[in-house]
Amino acid sequence: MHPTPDSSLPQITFKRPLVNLWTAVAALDRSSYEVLALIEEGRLRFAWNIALRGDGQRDVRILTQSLFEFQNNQAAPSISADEDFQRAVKLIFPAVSHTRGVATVRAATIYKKFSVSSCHVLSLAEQGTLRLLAGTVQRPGPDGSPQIEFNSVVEFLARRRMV
Amino acid sequence: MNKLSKNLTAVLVVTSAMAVSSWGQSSNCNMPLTIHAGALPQITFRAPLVSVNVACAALELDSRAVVRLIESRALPWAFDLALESRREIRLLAASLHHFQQPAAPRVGSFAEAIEIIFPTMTAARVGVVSKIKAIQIARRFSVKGDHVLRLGDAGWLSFVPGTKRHAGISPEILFSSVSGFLRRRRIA
Repeated sequence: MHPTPDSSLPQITFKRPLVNLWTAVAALDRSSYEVLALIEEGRLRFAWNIALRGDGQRDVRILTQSLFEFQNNQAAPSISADEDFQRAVKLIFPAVSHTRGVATVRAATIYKKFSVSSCHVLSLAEQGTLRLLAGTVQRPGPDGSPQIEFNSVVEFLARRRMV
Repeated sequence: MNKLSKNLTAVLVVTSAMAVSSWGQSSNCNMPLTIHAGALPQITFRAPLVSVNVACAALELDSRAVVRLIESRALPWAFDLALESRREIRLLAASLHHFQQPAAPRVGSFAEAIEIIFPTMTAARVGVVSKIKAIQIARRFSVKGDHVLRLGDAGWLSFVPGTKRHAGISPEILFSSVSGFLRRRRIA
């Protein structure tokens, strides 16, 4: 099959900051193994394994911005690795709440950003990977989603980054 | 205090306790102040068909909302490629592009959709039976290779008579069966 010229290929704007492995496979028209190799080589710079268990299981999310940068041959910005990581986290969570002086995000925000089920985020909290804000409760209705300490989300993303 | 003013007081208490802010401004997070989320990234799609997940991430909708858009043909040119009852929806990436940017060219006919999915297969030649390898179909459909073989085994796709099928060799499929399959499996 002959390659289609780039100019005639559809461009899709992504509102969500993270995409799954299969989205990258379709965008790049490469196999999942090839996309995983791009992640391991650092050419797709930011990707995370957000599986419930970090060992063996794999549930990959790639920063949409990293996929964009790869497709457009954009070099990494000239900032420190730490700042670069913070920039990536900021693209996922541009704003956080502050409750009793603690930065928090709702579980519902996390599962939407991660494109996972609500059960997935609550299971991460149950296993202690994400920390519930002390005293937060889950209840039905608006604002009923429990609050998660934002620092635990950042720590999770730092631990689960794939390189 | 009446019920309304009690509710208003509750709202004020909640909003004062939970200030939403850009987290670079918080002393609780050791983050720089100068990071700004830029314009939303545009991703070019080389595969012609994409899953519902792609539409969910692009449009920031849940899968039920995306399926409703497909079934109402607001997102036309979607196909259910499932073998069994659980749907396996693939949507023409060009349709999603047109949905986001109405000024972009619209895919107007089934023939155009097939041309996009299989650009080199649609020019019929007299006396030549068009055929395509199963692995190529899998890539264009964005499904696993064995899914295509199982569609063949189930009779949805037709293997070329006498085609070889063993490890390392992708069997050939009659292209007419592929276009017929897509025609039958179009959603809405």
